[in-house]
Amino acid sequence: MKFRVPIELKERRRYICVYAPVSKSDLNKALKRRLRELSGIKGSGIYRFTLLPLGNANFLVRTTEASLAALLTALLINRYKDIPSLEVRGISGTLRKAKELCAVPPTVKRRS
Amino acid sequence: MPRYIDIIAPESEEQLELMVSRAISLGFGAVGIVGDFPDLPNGTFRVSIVGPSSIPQEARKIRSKVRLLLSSPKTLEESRKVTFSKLVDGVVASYDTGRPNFDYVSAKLLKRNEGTLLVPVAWMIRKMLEEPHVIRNVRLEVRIALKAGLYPVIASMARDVREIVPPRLLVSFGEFILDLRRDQAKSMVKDFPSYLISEERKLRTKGVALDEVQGSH
Repeated sequence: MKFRVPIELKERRRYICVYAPVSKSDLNKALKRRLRELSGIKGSGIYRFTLLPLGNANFLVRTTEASLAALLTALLINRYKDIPSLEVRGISGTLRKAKELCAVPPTVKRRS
Repeated sequence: MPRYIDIIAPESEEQLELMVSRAISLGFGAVGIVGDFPDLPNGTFRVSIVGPSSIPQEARKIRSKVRLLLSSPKTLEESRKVTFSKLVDGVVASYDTGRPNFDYVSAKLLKRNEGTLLVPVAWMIRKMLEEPHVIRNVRLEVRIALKAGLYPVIASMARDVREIVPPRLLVSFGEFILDLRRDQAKSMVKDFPSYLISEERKLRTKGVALDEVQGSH
């Protein structure tokens, strides 16, 4: 029997480093609610993500390339509406680099 | 070289300094300031948004003082009037009216002045969750602007520090909400605003606005 790789596993994974001083369940609920709203506005769409807590209010959001724009828009709207201190600190295609992005203290300026 | 450029609308001078330093730390190369502030920090430029009734008299007075002069028409008639004047650099997308106020004729008129259509992200987000048809209107206007060869711009129009976001989020907003390709959305945050404040555009449109100012005397 030939094994077929599911299409979502072939997609490139993307990791978003997010700083949010809320619990994992609250962030998960806020993101899901916002994505549901955005799906309604856009007509349709299935957006997948997984939250990985890293400690110190840092989270990694694991998602696919197809869902990346929707996730970032949901994070943007959540920053404006629900969680004002939420910050997107970086995006990477590899878990190691994403963890490195999250390890940098949030007060360090990228550019003077 | 193009840089990421944002346009903000601070409420006070204390907010202005904080917002500019925050925007620069997030990777923006220059920041446009909407509002009547006497002194602006380094790396900023003046932007003014005038009502359609202030054109052309009021616009002639402030034209030389601001880098970008925008207008926010509320009807199609106002949009034609505003874009007919070569003093105006661009119009704000119709985020708060029930229907699109910017058509192909207005876009072609604005093209004579190498103009822009401004998509205000913060203003749009405040409105679109209650009235989702705002997205459809703005999307249509952006499509018309791109077809007419204008240079649409996505800017945060933040009023406090909390609303300033990294350029990547503005690109994603354009990509997802306005149905653009990523390179198109990126141009609207980086290349087009850089061109709008560049010397190249100033040279290309040299004399266009000047004719209208001199014609008033």
